Order: sequence, then structure tokens, then C-alpha cells
Amino acid sequence: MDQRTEPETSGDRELTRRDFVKGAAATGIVVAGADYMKPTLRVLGISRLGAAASAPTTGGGIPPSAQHGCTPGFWANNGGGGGVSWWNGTNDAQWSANGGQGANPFSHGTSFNSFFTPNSSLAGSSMWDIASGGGGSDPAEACARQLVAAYLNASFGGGYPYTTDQLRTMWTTATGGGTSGLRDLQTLLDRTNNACDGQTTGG
Amino acid sequence: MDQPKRAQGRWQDESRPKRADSVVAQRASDAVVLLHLESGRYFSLEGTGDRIWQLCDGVRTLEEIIRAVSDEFGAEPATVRADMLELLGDLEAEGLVDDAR
Repeated sequence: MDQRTEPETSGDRELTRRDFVKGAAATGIVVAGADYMKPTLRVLGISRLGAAASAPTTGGGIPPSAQHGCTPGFWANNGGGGGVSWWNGTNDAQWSANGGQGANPFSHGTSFNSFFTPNSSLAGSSMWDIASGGGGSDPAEACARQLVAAYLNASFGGGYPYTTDQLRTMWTTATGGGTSGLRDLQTLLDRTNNACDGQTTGG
Repeated sequence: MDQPKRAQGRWQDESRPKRADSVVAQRASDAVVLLHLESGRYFSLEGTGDRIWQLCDGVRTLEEIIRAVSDEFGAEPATVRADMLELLGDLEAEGLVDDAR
């Protein structure tokens, strides 16, 4: 027997969610679901990379670490300078001594795949491996490198354009979206990290 | 923080809003983050903007998008229309959408 369900109709018009919500409301039933919220566009900032030389800068997107650096090169340069020692241990004293809020979210040895949504290309890699690795040609590695720096920036203090929750979601979406998703997120975070960078520490 | 530029209204029901090619979009937990690769400006599209961004495919007309959003979120079409026109003005002024008509 054919069990297909025909669309619910009112006359010859298919009922919409709006019709249903209205009907339910008339009988005192509240229907849960996504609420309509006015769509708005907000300027987060401007990247110095790729931006016109005369483009105005904005006051946004400047975490405290911007006085020093926001790029992977700042957090994980192999020369050992910059913010390298601010997160090399759990609850690192230098994190807070340099103005970081709370405790550092992870340390050099934290497994990337245990902290973020796992990606097979990053199996066995620590945060330090990824952040200091130079990116390389693998899209997951290159994207993850920017993500580690972005997460440190967002954790360090207010003012970074994205929250840590947003960064987690971005990564999860990107890693599920294949190469193009990872490349897009890498581009976005590279620009954002460079935009908030107080010094040209390299990306 | 500066405000988005705003274009004068030219959008009509038969317009077909299309996401610009030079834009990278990334969904975050409660917004879509947009980066315009040429200007270097990056944005957060909030509220129901996530869904509207998906629908701006250059195929659907403005009228169809308004109807879809209105139906999906149970909102009054007049409200959605007013908000859409305002949003499209902002997006267009920043080079984030075009009319594919």
C-alpha cells in the first residue's frame, strides 16, 4: 500500500509554516522554532592585506595581543620570541602576566584533534606542531595554523572579531566542507589575524 | 566601529540578488562572516541574514526570497520586505551582492 503523505493543503495552496504558526497561535498553542530576527550587516574591520592603501582603518578587532602580534608567527615562531612562552604550559603564568584573560585555552602539547572537531590530516598533531609548522600545502594544516592563532587571540582578550564559540563552529563547518571550505576559512582567518596584528610579525 | 555604506534603493520584486564572486563567507555559530577580498573589509551578517545570504543565489527573485523567509520564520511579508530592502542596500554598497537580472 502506498504510504506517501500528500502535502497538507488549504484549498489548492500549500500550507506554510507561517500559516501553521498563526493557526496554532489562534488556539493558544506556541510553536517552537527559529524566530525571525531582523537581518543586519555589521562591519567587523578591515584587513591590511588586499585592502586599498587609502582605505580607512576601524577601531575594531584589536585584542590586547595586538600590541605585539596576532599571527601564527607571533604565537609560534621557532625563534622562541613573541608569545611563544605565553601558552607553553597549562594555566601558563605568562599568559596572565602579559594581560591574557583567564587561563590559556590550550598549551603547546594539546592535541588539535582532541580540542577541535577532528580532521584526519591532523591526527597526532599538537597545537604547537600546527602553529609552528608553516602551513604547508595541505589545506587542513594551513587552515588549522590560522585557527590556532585566532583561537589564542579570541581567548586572550576582548576585541577579536570572533568569539571562541564562533571559531569552533567555523572550523567544524570548514572541515566538513572539503578543500574549498578550508581554503575559505584560512583566507578569512589569515586576513583577520593580520588585520589585528600590531606589528608585522609575518603570517 | 564604522557603519556599512548604504546604497539608494533600486531593488525590485523581480531583482535577483546574487552573492558577489569576490566574497568569502563562513558560517559562525550565530552569524555569517563575510570577507570582501578586494576591499579587505570583513563583516558579520546577523539575525536571519544567514538564511537570506543562502537564498541570494542569482536565481531566486527578491519576491521569492521574501516569501521563503516569511514562510520559514513565520514573519509578516511586509516586515521581511522592509528589512530585506535595507539589508540589500547595505550589502550592495559594500560590493557584497549584485543584481543578476
